[in-house]
Amino acid sequence: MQKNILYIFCIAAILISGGCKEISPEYRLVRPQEGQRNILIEEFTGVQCVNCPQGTDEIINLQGLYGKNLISVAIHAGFFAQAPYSDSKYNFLTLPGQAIENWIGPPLGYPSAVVNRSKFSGENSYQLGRQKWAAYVGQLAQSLPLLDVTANTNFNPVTRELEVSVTVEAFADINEDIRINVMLTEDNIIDPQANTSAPNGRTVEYRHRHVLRAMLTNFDGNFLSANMKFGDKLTKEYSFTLPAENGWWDADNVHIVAFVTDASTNAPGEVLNATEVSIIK
Amino acid sequence: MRHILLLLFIGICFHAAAQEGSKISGSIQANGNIFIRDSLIGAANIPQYDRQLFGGETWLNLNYSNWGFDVGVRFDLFNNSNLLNPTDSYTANGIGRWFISKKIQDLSITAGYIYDQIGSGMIFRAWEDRPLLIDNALVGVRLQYDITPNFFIKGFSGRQKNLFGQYGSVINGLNAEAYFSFGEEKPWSINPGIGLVHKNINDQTVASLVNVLSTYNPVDSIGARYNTFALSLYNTLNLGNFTWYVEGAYKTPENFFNPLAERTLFNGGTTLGKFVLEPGTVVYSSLSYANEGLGISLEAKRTENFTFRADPFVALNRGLLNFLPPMAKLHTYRLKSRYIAATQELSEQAIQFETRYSLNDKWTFGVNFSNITNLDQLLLYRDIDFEFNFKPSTKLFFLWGLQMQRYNQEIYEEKPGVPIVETIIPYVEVLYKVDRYKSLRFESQFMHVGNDVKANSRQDYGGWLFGLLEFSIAPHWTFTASDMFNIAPGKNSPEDNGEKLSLHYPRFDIFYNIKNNRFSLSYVKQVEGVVCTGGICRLEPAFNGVRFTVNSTF
Repeated sequence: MQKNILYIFCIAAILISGGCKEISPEYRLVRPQEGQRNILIEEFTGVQCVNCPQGTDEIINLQGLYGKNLISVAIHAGFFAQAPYSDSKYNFLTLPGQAIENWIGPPLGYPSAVVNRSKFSGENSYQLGRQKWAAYVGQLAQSLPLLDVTANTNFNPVTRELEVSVTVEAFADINEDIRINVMLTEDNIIDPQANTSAPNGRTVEYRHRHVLRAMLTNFDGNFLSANMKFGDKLTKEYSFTLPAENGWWDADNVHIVAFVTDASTNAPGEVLNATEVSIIK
Repeated sequence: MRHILLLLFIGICFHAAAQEGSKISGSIQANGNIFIRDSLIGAANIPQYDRQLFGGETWLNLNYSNWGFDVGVRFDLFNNSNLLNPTDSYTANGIGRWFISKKIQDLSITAGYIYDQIGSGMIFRAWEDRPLLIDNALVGVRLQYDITPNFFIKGFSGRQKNLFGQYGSVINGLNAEAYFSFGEEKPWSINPGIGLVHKNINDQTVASLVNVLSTYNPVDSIGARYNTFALSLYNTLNLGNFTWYVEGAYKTPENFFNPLAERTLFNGGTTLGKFVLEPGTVVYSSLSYANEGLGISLEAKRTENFTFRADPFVALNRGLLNFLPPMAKLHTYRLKSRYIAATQELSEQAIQFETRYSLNDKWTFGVNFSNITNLDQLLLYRDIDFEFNFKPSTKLFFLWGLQMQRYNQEIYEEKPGVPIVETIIPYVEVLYKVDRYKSLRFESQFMHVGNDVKANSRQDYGGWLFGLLEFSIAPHWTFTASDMFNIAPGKNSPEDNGEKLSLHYPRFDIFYNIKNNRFSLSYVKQVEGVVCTGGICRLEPAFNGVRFTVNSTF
């Protein structure tokens, strides 16, 4: 009896493990066509976060694939952003950045990113570990936008006054509370960064990418409309004076990131579309 | 719906409790934390310190037995809890577990949330570890048939619990285990077993995986798999005073994220971290000898690519399907447990040796040694611990010893560029029984830490001195006061105006036991550190505040 049962067990084990060959999914390396919908990826990072440069690498790599359809903002906030190094020239922590992290919720670990402020099926949090970013960017890249966002800038290099005009055009009737968000980012800032790939765990002259510097709206956006009809166009204007260039605030590297969120969908509001323009044409 | 289920269950229990042959049992565990901001030690900038002020958890367990059935339900409550993510707040409540179990002759049937394991847990372990909010119950069905009292076979199928939801993958398992004894004059026995686990990842997860893999540079391109099989063979041999356990496991190739694998970017550069498709192996063995006054054990383990999770995208302590035994002694003293070796899933080989020898009723001597490296022989952890016990009378007990550690902080805590932490820890404990009810216990440890030459400072937080005084009045009261003092601050110690601070981290506890109830009230100031349970660790930020707990069984 015991032997028979054991034989049955072994046969079952062999059948399960060896007899069932799966048909594995086939895929092609993606080279996406330019789409109509731009996707916003907000990376939460900090200068003391050793793995965050790998997160930035991942985003730059994805931008290489998706081009202008993937817009990134590096938000220095949370545990690893509270105190820069003693030899850091800059502190990337901003009030709106920290407010956004508090609002969305801090991640379990860094680097982390929020993709289009979407809460994806099966996820417990808006915050996503870096191994998931490509999956969800790919998923959203196939969708069509409900509206279009365009931005125009007018920068006076002498007074350093910046005027921003953001226009939103509806591609469908949108009877929801939609909000406009305008961020100011700066690319290519050189300053120390913890880095697991660096010999001493730190890159002294690290090139910080797409750093959130300021917001021209509230951190959770400004009300835009609750009743947009197909073809409606709304324009909002903002102004900001760039502080004097002092190693950073280099106008050549400053960009406007404008996006519209649907505040009725969830707490931070899913991003319906976004745009990024340089302040110097 | 779940709340209705709970109320229905409670109603049935109390209605049926009046009937003969029925039995109700249960337990409650409640924790509460009052968070007091202390930005100097880093107890700040999380929601609980900034605006929530209070957080806690409760687990209420009810079990009922009647008519040969066992049923149970557990209500879980998390209010602004910091267990899931020590730097965030988690609020949720609901039915954390229910099960129904029935034995029909030799066949046992269980449905619901099941805790179980195969062998030592290398290919499957569904368990709960509340301090780390690990609750890896299998939500499904388990059948076990006892062919003889010494031979069972069981099978299970289900999905792993994920907080109040479930992971998408389906887990199936088979396990057979037997016990055979031989000989009469010199009896010996074997306890062999075999286990097989099949994991099938759902379409949605594989689609996400494909989305990721399709963005890889062709040189890093790999296939994607739906199915993984893990096979384990194990045996315990008992021969006289010797016990020898051995287990080997193999896992078919599966997709997992290797954070140390180099990946080529489209701009020609490289970065660390990518999905790979690799098989995994782990071999573990322990040999122990026990005789009057002498106990010896020797353990060895080799692990290669044996991460086994319900979802390829989850990390840290989420979605673990298996449990790899830790290979360093779990210490209880505060400073001895400050640097703990977390089990490495991808690359680890380790040996551990422990012996205890009692010279007579008064003297006992013990040595523990463990050495852990990765598969490239990079030292991860080394621990040598000598311990002496002396019991001159029934009223007095002395314990003292010396521990020396090497701890690869760069690997365990992902702090690149830091040197291996070197510690020397002398320690002492004295227990004095004042009378039949009252006792006084004192313990102290000193941690000497090596130098970080590059930082021109002591390593990590530097040297510590710890002292604890405990007064117990049996059977009800225990009072404890302790302090952990950063006597020689190191590179990571808090600073003020560029000067490292020697801070105190005091703790005061009151414990009260009455019948089946245990209450505790504590004031805790705790330094940042790595907290590990059963070989699984995570970085815990500093804590400052008041804690209270209630534990009851009925």
